[in-house]
Order: sequence, then structure tokens, then C-alpha cells
Amino acid sequence: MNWKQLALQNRKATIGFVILVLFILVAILAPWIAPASPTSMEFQPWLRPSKAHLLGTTAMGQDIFSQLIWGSRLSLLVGFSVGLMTTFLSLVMGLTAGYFGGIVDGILSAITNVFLVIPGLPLMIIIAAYMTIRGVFPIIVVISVTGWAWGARVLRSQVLTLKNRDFVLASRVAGEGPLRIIFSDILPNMLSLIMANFFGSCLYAILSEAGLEFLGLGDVNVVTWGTMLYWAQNNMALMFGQWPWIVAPGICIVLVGTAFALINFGADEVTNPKLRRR
Amino acid sequence: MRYLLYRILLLLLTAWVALTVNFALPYLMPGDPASVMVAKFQGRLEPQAIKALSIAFGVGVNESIFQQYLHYWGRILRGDFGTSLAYYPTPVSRVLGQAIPWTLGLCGTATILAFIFGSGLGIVSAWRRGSRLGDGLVPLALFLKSMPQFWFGLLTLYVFGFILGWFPLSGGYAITSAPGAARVLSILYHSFLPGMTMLITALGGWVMTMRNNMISILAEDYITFAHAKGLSTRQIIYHYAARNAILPSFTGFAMALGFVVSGAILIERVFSYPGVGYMLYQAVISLDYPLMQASFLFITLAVLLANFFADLTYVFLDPRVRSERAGS
Amino acid sequence: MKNLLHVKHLNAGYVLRKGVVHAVRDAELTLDHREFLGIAGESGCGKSTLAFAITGLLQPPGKVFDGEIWFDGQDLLKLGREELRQARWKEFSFVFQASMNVLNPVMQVKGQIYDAIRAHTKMAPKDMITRAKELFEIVHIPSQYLTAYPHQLSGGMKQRVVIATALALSPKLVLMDEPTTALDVVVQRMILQEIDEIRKELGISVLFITHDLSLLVEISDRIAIMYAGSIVEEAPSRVLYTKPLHPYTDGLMHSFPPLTGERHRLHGIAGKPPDLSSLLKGCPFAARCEKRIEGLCDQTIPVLQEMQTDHWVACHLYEKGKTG
Repeated sequence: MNWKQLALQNRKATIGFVILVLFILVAILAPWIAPASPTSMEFQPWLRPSKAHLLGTTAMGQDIFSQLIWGSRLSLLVGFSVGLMTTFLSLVMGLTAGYFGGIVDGILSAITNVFLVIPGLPLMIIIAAYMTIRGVFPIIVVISVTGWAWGARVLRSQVLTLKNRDFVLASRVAGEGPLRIIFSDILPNMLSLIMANFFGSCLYAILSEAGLEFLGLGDVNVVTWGTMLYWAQNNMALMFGQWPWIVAPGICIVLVGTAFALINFGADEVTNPKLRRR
Repeated sequence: MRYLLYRILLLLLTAWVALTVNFALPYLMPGDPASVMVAKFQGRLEPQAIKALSIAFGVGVNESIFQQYLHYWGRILRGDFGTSLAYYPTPVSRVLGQAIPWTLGLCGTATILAFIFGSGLGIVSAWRRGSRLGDGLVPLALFLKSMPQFWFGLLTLYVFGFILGWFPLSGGYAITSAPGAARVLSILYHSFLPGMTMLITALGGWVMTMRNNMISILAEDYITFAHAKGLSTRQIIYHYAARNAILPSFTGFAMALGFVVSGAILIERVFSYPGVGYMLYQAVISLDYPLMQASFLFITLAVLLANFFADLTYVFLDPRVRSERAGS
Repeated sequence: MKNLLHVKHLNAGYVLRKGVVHAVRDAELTLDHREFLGIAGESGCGKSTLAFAITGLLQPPGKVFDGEIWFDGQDLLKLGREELRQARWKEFSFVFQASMNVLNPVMQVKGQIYDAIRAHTKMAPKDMITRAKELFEIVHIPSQYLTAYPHQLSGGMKQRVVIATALALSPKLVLMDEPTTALDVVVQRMILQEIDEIRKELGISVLFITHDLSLLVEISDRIAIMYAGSIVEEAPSRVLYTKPLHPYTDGLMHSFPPLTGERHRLHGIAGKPPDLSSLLKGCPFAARCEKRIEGLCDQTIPVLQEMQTDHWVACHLYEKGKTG
């Protein structure tokens, strides 16, 4: 697959990719771009946007713009980590169930269905609520553990379809072991589906993270876009007219989320040629 | 029929898992949260209440975990969810009971409308593929899908509630309104912003789902055959294409419900709307474990039932799962 | 007009990103009332595109570039969308390649016959039921299957249902594109016989497209051979079988073994068909033809001409005024 051709043909995914790369750059270059430390409360609180403070300051005297830039680090980190972990879990469950079939499939599918139906956020909320320690890592684990089921189901159906294709049957007849068949025959043909899944999971991750942190279930002492929204809401930012505190982190989440959704859409088009532009 | 049987078994299995998880979580979490909670409320409640709380959560109790589990089941089946701590001394069942209609009304209406309008737009987007309308709907839907629901809620609240003052800022209805028609109008008035927020943020998902399904279906041979028969466009879109395209939406319903529920919780928080989601939130911040457990249980069981209902509808709509093949 | 169908200089194909594929090149054919015309050609020669173009079902990126399709006195290509829609099924119908998916999976089989009838007539429900039963009788399906769903039927039955549907409005012409290819040979034979009986009884014209020439020889009145997008020979089937003129037809006739007679070595036709995405110079078969005339066959495209009574060939070997 020629990546350049793919990129040119698929405008939406390319736009998504560009946005994502921009944010990643901002996150990496944060120490150099941000005018101030995100946590230092040295400034006057509730300042309106100005040249010194592009987005104003918070109720505690922190520079919102710096928070936004530094916040990108953890927000993106959580998004990608959850995406990776969820995709990994989905893959393991989906591949095993789909390839081995029989009772293994029966048990794994039942487990997948259970996790699929139990609603994610309420479960995340009570798990997080019982946790006496707050932090970023628990959030990553909680979101991953509750979010892998949909991907597992999708990947499993693809494995089922591929399993019966001629080239796989040929490998089996030739006596190849299951691991080798999975890794050299089946997986390479699922790459675009896995990609689509990964970016879909990242979208889910970033929205769930924002939701949990907004409710105060993340570590409210670290700076992420979600915790910014938590503090903004708790300090009634909108009532005080300090709308950048709410709008800015929200827009960043939307942009990164849209980027993920666009790439996911593009990857979907690769997997399912019927969806491509004619 | 096998399909239906499997779904019933799954329903029972999942319900059991949910109930067990609900029971087990406080025991499994590090840091013994149950004791922390009991300690917090010591001295603020009557002694019987503290005793009941301790028994329910296994604090300072001499029974084995399995015995406590059985007692838990006993309580659930009797409908005894304990006393709410945040709304002491109201029993949890009463707190929840009052919250449920609000959530059902808000979520139910918004979800149904989102499904209808979203699917409709998805059909249009697929049928008019290549036109500006058809293709323009895609980035819009993607954008709506990636927006945190609660953030959109905050913005609409700010613009339409705070700045323009067109809508109330919180609550389910105005306490001052007279019962009867005025009360009903007040309820509708208060539900407009949160309802619209839920509707708009849910649309994106349905548009994309329906669009993708339709595009796959439109490439099928039976659509070409229908066209060859000289059927009208309307017939083909609805009776041949959409009728088939809608099926995957039901199998993916569980995912959609998860989204609805998370939206309900966050949006009720933003608008201070007195539904079950709001109760869950209040329970979390005030360490009201009884209310938290009961809210989680209600939400999960409601989702399970709704999902099961979607499964039933699917069986009704797709003849292929109903019967086996006849002979040649 | 004497002919029911007259396709004149039809050019059609697909507009793709990499270029234009001319699947149908200057195709000519005629079909009479009550006549069975078989069109034979190998995979990729453009026969399905021809069928779709004639019936107006060519969807983007497919396109008819130019030509005329005269059906019962009207040029189908000049009809408006609504006029064409109304002509469908009543004037001509189409039986697709036998596939798993030609019928709507969520609709009962009878419903799919009814909606074809309802789209074009105002038949009373009672009459529709009678008509459906009649149709099922014609194709030998027990009438209890009217309430079945497509997934409950075998491949052969589904194809019979499609044929029954195609006959619902008693059209003048039924086009069939490989209607039996996906079925096993026994069922294939049965269905072909049924088609033959039906068309004789009801007086319908049939345009039957297939890659399997042996099927056509017995059942068709006339056969047309298609190669690289054009019709290269057209004649009554007996004549084509015994005295094929075009070298390609000759090659085809000798590539399937007779059931009786002495055994001899079969030879196929060397080479492969040309790539239809390029404009060809000269006769498309020239490169593979053993009898080609250098300087003529590879430079000028031969035109389909009536060489003997009712025997049309597009080949320089037979052109009037030249030596063969």
C-alpha cells in the first residue's frame, strides 16, 4: 500500500492526521512554548485574556494558556495509552475467540458480551469512586478495562471471515501451527481494521477521560484538559464570565477527538472499499 | 429461536455479573473504602443507621464473605437498598424512585428522537453520496461525535441560559409553578436545553452508522434487481435498502446505550437535572455508598433490559434468525 | 419495425480514475419477436456490461458513451428516467446472474413479486395472488413457498423465483445474464429446459448471455459471439455450430469435447484477450488469430457484415471484394 497515494486519496484522514501531529508537537515542545508553569499561582486570579495571558487566568491565578499547552501532554498520553491497551485487549480476545472457535469462543464471547452491555461510564465512576488513590494510571486502567468489548467483537468477526479463506485453509493443510497462521496469514490482513479500531478507541478514551475528570474522579491536582474543566466548573467560571477557561480545553478535546474520528473514518474506507469515494 | 434463548441466558448472566460486581467492588478496592465511609459518618447518623450501614458493607462484621453475599442478595430481592446518606434519612429506594422518571423522560425522548433523525440523515447522506449535502453531512457528524457531551451542554447553558436568559439554569421544574398544566409546561421548559444537548450530541453516531450501513447495502445485488424491476425510488430506499440497513443498528444497540447513559450522567450534572445520573454523582461526592450502589444497579439493569428489548426487536425484524432453511 | 430489439453502434464502459475502460465497442445486434438469441463470450468480454447497458442499469462509474438501442420502435437511450422506469418489467425484464443475494432478505418472496406488479399495474390483490400462483406453477415451485423468505430457499429455487418474477408482467423480452452459472449442472440443465419450455409457450423473446457456448447450441435460435467488446459473429445456431466463419468462433467450437465420436487432442486459443482500457488498433483478435493478414487485420477494425444469408461476421477474411 502506497502511503502517499492513500493520503492524497483520503483527504479526511489526512486532515485528521495533520491535526494530531500538530497537537503531539505542542505536547512535546510544551516546556518551550508555554509562557509559564501550569501550576504556579503567581498571577492575579480571574484576569481577562490579554497579551500577557492569551486566555486569561484561573480562579487560583494560573495562566490558562500555559495550562492548555501542558495539559496536552497528559491528555494525549491517556488517549494513546488507553487506545493501545484497549486495542491489545480487543485483539487478544477477538483473535483467540475467532480462531479457536468452539468452547473457547463460547466462553470468551460470553465474557465479551457481558462487558459490552454493562454501561461503561457508570462502572468507571463507581470503580474510581471506591479508589482511595487518585491518579492518571488508574484512569487509564479503568477506561481500558471497560472499553475493549466492542473492538473484540468487530475483530472476532473479521477473524471468522478470514479463517475460512482459501489461503488460510492452505496454510492449515500445509501443517502450519496456529500461532504462525495467526501472525503471518490473518493479522496482516486485518491491519487496516486494527488501525481503525485503535483510533476509534483513542476517541473513546479521550472523551471518557474528559468525562471522568470533569466529575472529579481523576487526579484533580494534575493538569489535563479534563481537570481544567473540573476546576472551571467548580469555580463557576461561566458565571464569572471567564469563558476561555471552559471553551479552550473543550475545543482542544473536540479537535483531537475529531482528528481521531477522521482517521478512523479514513481507515474504515480502506477496510471497506465500498465506502470509498467513487 | 436459538438466538433468542442465547440472548435470554446472556441477560441473566450479565445481570448476575453486574449485581456481583456491585457487591464485590468495595471489598476489592485497596484502602478499604467501606471502613473509610463508615468512619466518616460515625456520629452524624443514628446508631441503628450506622449498624445497618456496617452490616451492608461488611465493616466489623463476623460473617464470611460468602454469607455477606447471600445477605446482599436477600436485601436486593426484598428491595431494601438502605438509607441514603446524602439525603438522610430518606430511604434510597425513595430517592431513586423520584429520580427515575426524570431520567427516563429526558433520555428516552432524546434518544428516540436522535435515532429517528440521525438515521434519517444517514439515509440521505448515503443516497445522495457525491452531492454536497450527502458528503457535507459526514464531517459534521464526525465533529458532533467527537465532542464531549457535557462541554456542549456547558456552552449551551452559558449562551442560552446565562447570557440570553432564554432558558432556566438548573432543576427539573420551577418549584413555584402551580401543579397541572403550568407544572407540565415548566417541566418541558426545563428539559429543553439538556434534551437538545443530548439529542444533538447523539445524532452524529446514528448518522454515521446508518450511512455506512446504507452504503454497504446499496451495493448489494437485490438493490440492483429492485431497480431493474422498475420500482420507485422511494420503494427502493425504504423497503429494500433502509429496511436492511437498520438491522446492524440493533445489534450495535448496546454500544449506543452506553453512550446515552454516560451522556445522561454528565448532562444531568451540568444542568443539575434531578435524574438518576445526578443522584449517582451526588452519591460519589458525598461518599453515599448505598445510593451509589443502587444507582449503578438501576442504570445497569435498565441498560440490560433496553438492550434485550433491542434484541427482541431484531428477531422481529430479521427473518433469518427466526427460522432454518427449507429443502430444495 | 420487424425487429424487437436492435442495438446499433453501442459504446459503453467505465470511467475510472486510472482511465476509461471501453467494455462495449461498437456493438451491433438484432433480436426478433419470439426469438431466442444467445450471446457467448469469455469472461471480461463485456457481455454483462452490454446487458446492463441495454436495460439501462449501468450505474456510475459505468456509462453509455453513444449508440442507439431500439426496442419495439423506441430508442431506450432517449427515454427519460420515469418513462424508462415505467417500461421496465412490463416491456423487458432481466434475470441476473444466479447469486445468493438477488432477493431482498427481509421480504417474503411473494411480496417481491407483488411489488413488481404493483409498480406497473393496478391489479387487485386477489388477482395478484392468482398471478403469483400461476407464475410459480410455470417455474415448478410448490405454491406454499410463496410465503417463504429467500434464505429458506436453495440456490436453484431462488433462481426460479427470479425467473418467475421476470415473467410477472408478461414482458416481450427477457434478458438473462448467466442465470445458471452458480448452480450445479443438474439443476442447470433443469432450469434451462424450463426456460426453453416457457419461452415457447408464452412466445417471449429471450436474450441469453453466457460464457458456456455448449449451453446455447441446443437451446438458441440464433447465437452471437462477443469478443473484446464487440459482436464478431451472429448466425442461426445450427449454422454457427457446423460452419463457424470467424476464427475465434472456430476456436471456441473446437475447445469443448463432443460426447461421442473419436477422441482427439483439444486445443485452446493461444494468447489472452486484450486490455479493454486501451483503444485498440485493428481487429481485437488479430494477435491471437492464426489466419491473420498482416498489414490489414492489425490496422483496420473489421465491420460486422452479412456475409451469407443471415450470417454476420466481422472479419477481413470474408470481406466482400477481397480474397480469403
